[in-house]
Amino acid sequence: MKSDENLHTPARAPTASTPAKELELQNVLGRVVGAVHTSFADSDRANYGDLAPDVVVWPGSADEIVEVLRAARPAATRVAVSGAGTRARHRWPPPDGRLRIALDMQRLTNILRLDETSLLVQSQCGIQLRVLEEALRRESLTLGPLPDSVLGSTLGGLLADPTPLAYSPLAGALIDACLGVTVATPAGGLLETRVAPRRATGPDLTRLYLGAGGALGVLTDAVLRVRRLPEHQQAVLFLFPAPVAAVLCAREALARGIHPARFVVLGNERATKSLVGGAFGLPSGLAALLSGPEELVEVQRLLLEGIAREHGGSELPQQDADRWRTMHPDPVSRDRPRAHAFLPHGRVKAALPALAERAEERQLRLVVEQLDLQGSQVWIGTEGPEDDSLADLSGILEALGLRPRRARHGSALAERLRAQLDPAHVLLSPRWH
Amino acid sequence: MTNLAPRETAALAAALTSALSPARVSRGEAERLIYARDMWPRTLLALRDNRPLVAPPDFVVWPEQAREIAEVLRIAAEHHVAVVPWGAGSGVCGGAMTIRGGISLDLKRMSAVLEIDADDHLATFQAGILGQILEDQLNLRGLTLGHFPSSIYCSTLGGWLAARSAGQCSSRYGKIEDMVEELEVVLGDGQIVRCDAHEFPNLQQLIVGSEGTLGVITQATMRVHRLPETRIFRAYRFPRVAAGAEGIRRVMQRGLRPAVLRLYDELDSLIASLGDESGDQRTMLSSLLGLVIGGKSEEPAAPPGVRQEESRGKHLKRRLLKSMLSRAGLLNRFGELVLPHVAGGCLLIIGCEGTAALAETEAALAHAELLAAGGRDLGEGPGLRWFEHRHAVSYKQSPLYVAGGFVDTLEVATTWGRLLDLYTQVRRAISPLAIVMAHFSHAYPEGCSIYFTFSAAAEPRGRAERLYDDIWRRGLSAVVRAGATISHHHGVGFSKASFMADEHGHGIEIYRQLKQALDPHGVLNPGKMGL
Repeated sequence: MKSDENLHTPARAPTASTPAKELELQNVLGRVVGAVHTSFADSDRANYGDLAPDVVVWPGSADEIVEVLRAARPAATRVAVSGAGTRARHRWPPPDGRLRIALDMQRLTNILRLDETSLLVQSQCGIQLRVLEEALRRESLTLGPLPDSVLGSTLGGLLADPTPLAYSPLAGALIDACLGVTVATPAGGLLETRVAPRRATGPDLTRLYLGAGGALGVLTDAVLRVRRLPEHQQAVLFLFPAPVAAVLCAREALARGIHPARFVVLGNERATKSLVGGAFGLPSGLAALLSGPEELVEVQRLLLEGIAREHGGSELPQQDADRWRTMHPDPVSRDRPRAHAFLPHGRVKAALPALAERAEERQLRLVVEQLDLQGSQVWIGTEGPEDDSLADLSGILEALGLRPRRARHGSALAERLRAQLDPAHVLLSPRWH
Repeated sequence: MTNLAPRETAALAAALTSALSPARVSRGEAERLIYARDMWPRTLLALRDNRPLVAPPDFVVWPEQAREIAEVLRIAAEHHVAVVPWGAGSGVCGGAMTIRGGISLDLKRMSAVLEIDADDHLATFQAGILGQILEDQLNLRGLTLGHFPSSIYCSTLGGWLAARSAGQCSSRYGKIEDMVEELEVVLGDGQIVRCDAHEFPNLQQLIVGSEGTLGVITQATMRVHRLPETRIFRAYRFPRVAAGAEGIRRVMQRGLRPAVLRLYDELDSLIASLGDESGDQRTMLSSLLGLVIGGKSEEPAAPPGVRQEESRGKHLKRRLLKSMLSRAGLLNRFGELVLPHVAGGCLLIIGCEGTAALAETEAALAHAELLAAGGRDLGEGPGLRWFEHRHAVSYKQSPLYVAGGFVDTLEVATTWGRLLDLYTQVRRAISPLAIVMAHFSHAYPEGCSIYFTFSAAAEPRGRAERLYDDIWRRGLSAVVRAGATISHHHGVGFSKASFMADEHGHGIEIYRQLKQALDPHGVLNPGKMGL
């Protein structure tokens, strides 16, 4: 947060020892965003972790961001975008002798337009998703089923650095709901991609910037598809003798056209106890939140019931399903170390029993979620001693040949594009080192 | 880049032959003519007048592996010649034309089915595989891609991806860019790369739709589905386009995903009813129109260049058709005033498919929405007839050219809030010059595509191309003013290139930078896409 004392205190007064470059930058930034929204104060700069900026600016518009980038190029300055989470959490590239500007988006939080006919919302990227979702719900709309941990991100943060958590079989990935963006480019231009449901007019330039970690351009606002609040929802919960059966049941359901708002395989008893609040005698569970018109939900429920029986599953009473729905937590606690990897359906029988065994040995929760027809994400999380580390958990998955579908920011091809689009390397990103 | 001098030709021939093999490099006259153009209607006008529009390729080559393509691109850069990738040549925007000579790179010898994985619902094919063959191979295993463009018999997977194509069931299965899991691409500098759908930034979605200007797609892994257990069709009659469009919006925004959802405007509904023998679609007006432009030919057409005496009936029909086409503005105005009252309104067809219980429930829910929007139930007949003939319409355009007219299509898309304005503006822009009709399809919760078909007189000769260009200029200008996209699924190619700056704004500079990064020598399909 911007220190209150700096809301009205301009940048610190220059002294004889203030470097000339810094003075010049101070003047330029003060002209662009206003002195009151520019800070060299230590107390403000300390909020950005190892980014260690020389100055923090809080732009109030896309045009101001464009001007900041234009000012940065000749000054050989680097600019890093900061939303809610990047301030202290990420690991930034080490200092390289160039001045660093932290571009804090917290003034860009307006909902610009809500098109209820087309079910689209255009919002500035500094808005927290929870705030956006609350505003939509007041209009009986929603971004879709999203876990609580995702709602804490800013819109720009999620679009620049997507998480596999922002996905449901019903709504798809939130990043796929983005139909258009406005981007301040490193060259000092403003790109506004035309919004249409789909296009065939060359490369999808929106996709160039989504997931780029802020290294190719600064997302200033985005147009997202929204949904009407569900007409009807029903949770269902099944128990299975083994996690493989539960995953194969889920895959079959998807293949037959059942797309729940949420679909979770509780891979072991630890997960079942934690996420449903009880032990039921069978090690694995499958929880689904069906959503849509009531008639469709009912048909899906009956079909799912039949598929579960085919795979050796048995349905739990509605109160247990409702308890899971009420609790609705993240796959594992956000505060505890956790690791995830992609599990293709073709490897479920080979890899999942071994993973379940390791999870039991290490007292880990095992959850399978974000299922689609190609595979799913397996999540393991510790409830053990505090010295369990993320690297250790990832190692368990890697030993079984399981890896995340991770971004390849550093690929040679990505670097080639970056060199073309930002030859002066103005933009800094925690994802590109 | 222009056609080569003899010494340059010899050097290039030697290099290409060494890289591929003599049998897979051709400088034959016939090949050069065939590969000079795709199915862009403007080139048909030029051909009719015996005037080739463009410089034919200097060579046609048939690579069999990605590394051969890499070598061809290296040779092309060395000799400063263009390379134009070629699938089946059925594009309608001039994207595969060789406007600067060079090398036409035909992918059809790279057409293998590499792997079909029913567990992971993934299938990998080489890019030169024809669409129907791809679908047939999946069907053998109980699977489907769910992608059914009307050109499925004469288009390739690589061409689909290069143009961002859409199939008739896109409302359920998505467009081609939604289906691709991984690509193998040869970039302009010869580097062979793989692009995954899950990596960031998403380089795959830069290659898809780039129409051969950034790289040559050599193979693709696609997401596939189970074949549907059942298909349920139904049709409805709406009094006006607006009511039908509202019906589509209600269905899609309720969360339903029919495979097919098509609304024809009044004139298109009338034309669609020409093939209906059952009588419930037939009106006196459609019977009259059918006499003029529909129905089977009473005698076989003569081969090109051979004079044949026409029957009097056929001669009269042709004269009447030409007369109608040259009075397009008047006819359009007449249609707007009269058709809503005599032609029976707008036809909507819906098709739901999948697991039987789900498809039936979805169809019932859609039925309620469409009735609530003012639709009148017509039963399953029109939908079944559409399904039976769904690929045929593209092959029925020849009679218009023979009769002295031309026909083309303009497919655009926008959000629901702008859709009717788009429809009105494009019609208003084109209708003084051409008979225009439209259908709405490829529906989404946030919007829809409009597919305009227009036809005008192609005579007097010499003026036809000017008229054609004028129609397109007016039509696309109206699209841009309406805030819509200039292409939903046919692509840009050469025909719409001049509007790319309007479409993308500052983005066209970004596209040029991508081109510089991925095709630094500028050999790939130069002169296209407004670059």
